[in-house]
Amino acid sequence: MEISVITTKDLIKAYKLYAKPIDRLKEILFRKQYHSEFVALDRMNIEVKKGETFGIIGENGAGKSTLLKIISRTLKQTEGEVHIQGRVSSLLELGSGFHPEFTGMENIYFYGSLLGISPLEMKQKVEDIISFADIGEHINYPLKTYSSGMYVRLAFSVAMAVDPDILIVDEALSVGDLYFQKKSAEKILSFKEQGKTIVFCSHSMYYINRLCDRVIWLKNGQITMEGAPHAVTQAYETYQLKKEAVNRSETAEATPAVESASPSLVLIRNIIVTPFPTVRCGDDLNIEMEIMARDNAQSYQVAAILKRIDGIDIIGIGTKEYEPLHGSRRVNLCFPSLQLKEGTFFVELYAMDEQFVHIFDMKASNPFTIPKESVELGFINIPYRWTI
Amino acid sequence: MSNLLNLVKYFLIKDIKSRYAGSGLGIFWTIILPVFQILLYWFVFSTVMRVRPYSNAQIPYVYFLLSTFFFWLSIPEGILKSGTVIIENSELVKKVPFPTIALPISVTLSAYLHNMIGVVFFVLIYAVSGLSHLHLFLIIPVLVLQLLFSVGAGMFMAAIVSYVRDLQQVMGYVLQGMFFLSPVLYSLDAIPERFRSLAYLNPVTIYIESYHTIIFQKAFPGLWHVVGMVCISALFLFLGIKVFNRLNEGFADIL
Repeated sequence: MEISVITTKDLIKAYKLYAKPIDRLKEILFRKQYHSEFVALDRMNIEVKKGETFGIIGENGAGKSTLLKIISRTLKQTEGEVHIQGRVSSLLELGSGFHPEFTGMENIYFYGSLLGISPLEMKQKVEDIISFADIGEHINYPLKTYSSGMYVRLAFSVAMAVDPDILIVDEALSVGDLYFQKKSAEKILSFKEQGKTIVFCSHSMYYINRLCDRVIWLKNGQITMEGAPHAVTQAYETYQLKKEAVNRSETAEATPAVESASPSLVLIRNIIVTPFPTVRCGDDLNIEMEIMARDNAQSYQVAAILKRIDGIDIIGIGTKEYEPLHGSRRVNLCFPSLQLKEGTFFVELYAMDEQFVHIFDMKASNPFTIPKESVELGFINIPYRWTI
Repeated sequence: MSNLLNLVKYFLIKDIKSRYAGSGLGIFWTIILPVFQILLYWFVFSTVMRVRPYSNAQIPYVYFLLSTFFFWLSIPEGILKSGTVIIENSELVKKVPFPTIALPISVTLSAYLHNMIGVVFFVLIYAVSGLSHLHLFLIIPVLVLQLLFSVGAGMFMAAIVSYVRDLQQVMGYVLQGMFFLSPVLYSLDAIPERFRSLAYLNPVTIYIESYHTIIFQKAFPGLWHVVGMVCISALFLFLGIKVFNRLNEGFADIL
């Protein structure tokens, strides 16, 4: 019933590694093998349906980029079949087709023709591109005069405007300067709502869970797990935390999970957990966060995930029933009479936009411990009733 | 197909723009440098070595030299630029899926356009000297054939050099050899008779000969020259496309 737009069958990608450049020539001349092989993708079978958002997760070097490159047709597989239906646009390397000597306008047409879109068709999109990228008069100046922010905005707008059937997104759900990040994330979301296909690769499990319909987990060029996003991301996070724990005992101390690279419009400054560090079952757990907004006009929402230290999500909650927040302020979250019985837990706090798409900032609280006080099994109290 | 042409157009503009970007004298280099080269060859060959272009014709040597010099220059320029065009655009080739064959085509066209300035320069001098004639229009079909030959050779080089970069250096010497063994600097009758047929092993000879026939003898190139040119152009074009299409799948791996 549903059409598959991306199908791969026994897809293999092996890179030939040569010790010296001359070995490549020797191999051609003497027809003897001078290379060793690195298998990046090993008999991969995937099928992506039309309108599906397909997530790919995995550690660095697992083969994610190779797979994305093969789907975007810049890399040729070594063996196996790849079938792709429809126009593919990729946000893999924004602006790599641009030429600095061309004006913004010329680059729009140039990029279009790279993807096989006629100038006539491109002409109808130019208005949209310029207004979305918010470039204004600069569109008629050479690209080399652009700031890096303008460059990315133009590149993103062009990549989205070519009206692809399949969009390939690598990590960068939001690009550009602080204001544009939100705009770009919304654009991708609207693309999903139009029923188009997205292949999305990310290290952010939040985005994967939020956006994807189905997820694969790649490890050493093979699919380790495939299925519903939550199941796969949960397994992946558990695996990673275990691995991290092994590493931690070797090295000194682990750094906090996620640290945002650039200063964001909304920042979480401080998290105070009370009581701390020991919480007893039945206590009121208070989490107070201090939020700093650089721009009072910027509205935001707050979300929190209570997690066990091994990565298992206990509960995720957001302020979606409340009016969006503005300005620097404090927000308090209370779990009255916490019914957790034992273990070490922490809270991940998110400052996000109103749609809960773009993450302004994310911080994890210090972990707190609930000591075991009864002999019963399990770590959580939930209401129950026997009928005898 | 229309998309390929469109793409070639953009790459051509891109090539021309980057050629003159940031250069002070811009397009004047295009004239100054070859003129200097011509003066050098003129002095060496006509004054020092006293080469006579045709034993029985009265053509000043500089006309002889000018008549094919710019047509020749297009060939090595096109081939050498094609050789590196994939490597120079490696970012693009690796990251954006597009018909890469547009790259060698566009740099070859760029080399020809560039050198046509010199051809116009020659035709003007020739016309001012009162020597122009209607047969000169025959240059155009020969030039088209030569261009097809160059495009084919360019595709071939673009594909091969991407894999074996050393070939670019080797090609510099090969082209220099082709220059001295083609009748650009001297007429074929200057070669001792028993070696003369060897000159035809150089694929360029036949095109250069045809230009000479048209310009100085005001005649059609001989039938065998026409057949020869068509065959060489078709062969190179065919091989170029074939080899390029075979090897372009691996570009993203080797760059």
